[in-house]
Amino acid sequence: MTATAFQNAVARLIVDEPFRRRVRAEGETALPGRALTAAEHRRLLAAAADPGMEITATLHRGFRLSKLLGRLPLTFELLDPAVSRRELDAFWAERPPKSFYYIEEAIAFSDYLARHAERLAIPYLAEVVAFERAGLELQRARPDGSPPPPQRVAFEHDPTPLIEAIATGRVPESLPRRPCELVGRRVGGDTEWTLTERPLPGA
Amino acid sequence: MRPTDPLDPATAPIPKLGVGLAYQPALRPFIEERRETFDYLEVVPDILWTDFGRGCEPRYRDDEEGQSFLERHAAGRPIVPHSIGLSIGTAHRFNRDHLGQMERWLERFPAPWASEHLAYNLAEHGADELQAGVTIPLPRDRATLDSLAPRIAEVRERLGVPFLLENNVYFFDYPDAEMDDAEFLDALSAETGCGLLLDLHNVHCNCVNRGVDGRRLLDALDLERVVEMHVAGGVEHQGFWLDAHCGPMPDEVWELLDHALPRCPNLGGVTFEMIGSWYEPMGAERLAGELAGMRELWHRHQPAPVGSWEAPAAAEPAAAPLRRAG
Repeated sequence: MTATAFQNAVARLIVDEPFRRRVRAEGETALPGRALTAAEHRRLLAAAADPGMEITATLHRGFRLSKLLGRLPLTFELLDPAVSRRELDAFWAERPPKSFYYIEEAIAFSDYLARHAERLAIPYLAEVVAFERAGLELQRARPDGSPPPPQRVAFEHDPTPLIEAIATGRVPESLPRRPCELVGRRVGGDTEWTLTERPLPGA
Repeated sequence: MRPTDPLDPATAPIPKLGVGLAYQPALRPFIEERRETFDYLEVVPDILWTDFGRGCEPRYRDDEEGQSFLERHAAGRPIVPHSIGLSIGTAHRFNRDHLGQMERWLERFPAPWASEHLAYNLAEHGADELQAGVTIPLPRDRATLDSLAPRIAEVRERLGVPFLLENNVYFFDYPDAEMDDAEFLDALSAETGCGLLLDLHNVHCNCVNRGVDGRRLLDALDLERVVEMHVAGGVEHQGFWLDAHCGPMPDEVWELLDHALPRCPNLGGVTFEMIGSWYEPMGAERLAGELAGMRELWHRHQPAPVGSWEAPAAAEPAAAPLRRAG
C-alpha cells in the first residue's frame, strides 16, 4: 500500500497547489505519515522542493485550461484573466481532474458559471454560457449512442451580433433587447441552430 | 509465467515501416493531400473513442467518424496505436478495461506493434480517482520493475503484438534512484520482454532540464530493444525545455536521431509528433520538410528497405514479436 500512498501524494503535489505549498512549508507533517516509508517521505519532500515540480504543475494546469478554452472560447472572452483564474481555482478546488475527456468538465464549468452568474455580474455571461453549454451537450457522446435531444437557449439579446462580436474579441457595449430562443439540433455531424422570437413581456 | 523474450529469433522480425506521422484531427488536410510524405500513421486511439469512466456500461463508445477517416485515408499504410489511458504504472489497480478496449481497437486496426507510456497518470483521490493529465515519472528501482513485470506480461499476451514502453520526460526526480535511465530501461526491457519506444525529444528535455547526457544515454542503452522512435519540437519556458510538440525539431534532436538511427537494428519506424494546433503556424511545407529530412536520415542509416506490412490473417496466431538482428 505504500506505493499507492506515495503515488497519490505525488499526483496531489501536481494538481493541488495548497497541498504543494503546505508540504514545502511544513515538511513531513503535511504528508500522510503512517502510509509512507522513510524513503518515500524523503522522495516526496525532495520532489515537492524541486523546481521541476512547479513546471509539472504548470503543465497540468495549462493542459486542463487549454481543454476548457477550446470548448468554451466565447465564455472565456467574457472573463478577464484575473476573473478566469479566480473562478477556475474555485471550480477546480471542488472538482479534481477525473478524465482525459474534458467535455464533461467544460459542461460542469458552464454549470458553475451559470450558478454564479449573478455574483459575477458580467454582461451577457449567462446567455453565452448557456449557448456554449448547449453546443457541448449536442456534441457529447452518449453511452447508448442515441442522438442528443434538441437544446433550447433563451436569449435576451439578439444572439447573432452578440456571438459574432464576442467571437472576434469584442464585447458589445449595448445591444437592444430581443427576447428569443435558439434551438440547436445535431444534423449529421453538424449542429444547426434555429432562432424563434419570444414576445417582449407586456407586448 | 515468464514472458518470452521479444528478441527471440524464432519469431517474426519487426517490419521496417520507415517514417511515420502522429495523427491529430487538425492534420487531416495534410494526411489527405500529402500522403506521400509518410509511411505510416501513429494514433493515440484514446482520442478516437470516449471513455465514460469506471462503472459505466458500456464504458467506451467509438468515434465512428474519426475511425472511418483513418480507414479511408491511411490508404493501406499501417496505423500504429500509441495509447495514453492504460497508466501502466498506477499502483492501486491495473486498468484492464482499457486493455480490453485496446484489444478491440487492434481487431479493427491490426498493427505491427502497440505502445504506451512508462509512467502513470491515474491516482487515488479520496474515494475517487484523479487523472493528472501528465505522465508522472516512476521511481527507477527494483520495486517499480517488479510491479510492472506481470502487467507487461498480461498486456503482451492479450494484445498479441510486440508491446513497447516509451521513456518518460521528467521535470522533477526522486532521490536515491537505484538505476540511471539506461540501466532502468534495459532492465525493464530485458526482464519483461517489452520493446522500447525511444522518444528522442524526451531525452533532449531530460538533457536540458535534468542534466542527463543524451549521447551517453544512447550509448549505454541496449538499442536492439528499440522498435520505434519519437521526435518532436519543444519550447523553452521558465528555464525548462518543454515537450510541447510544437513544430520543427531542434538541432539537438536531429543530432540524437542521426546518432541513434544506425545503432537500432530492430527499429521499425520514426514518428514525428506535433500538437494539432501547431499545424497552421508550422504549415504544410515545413511539416513535409521535417518528414523529408527524417526520411533522408532513415535511408542513410537503415539499410534494410522500407517494406509494406500486412496484418496477419485472422486465423493465424497474432503474436509477432521481434527477431534479433544479425
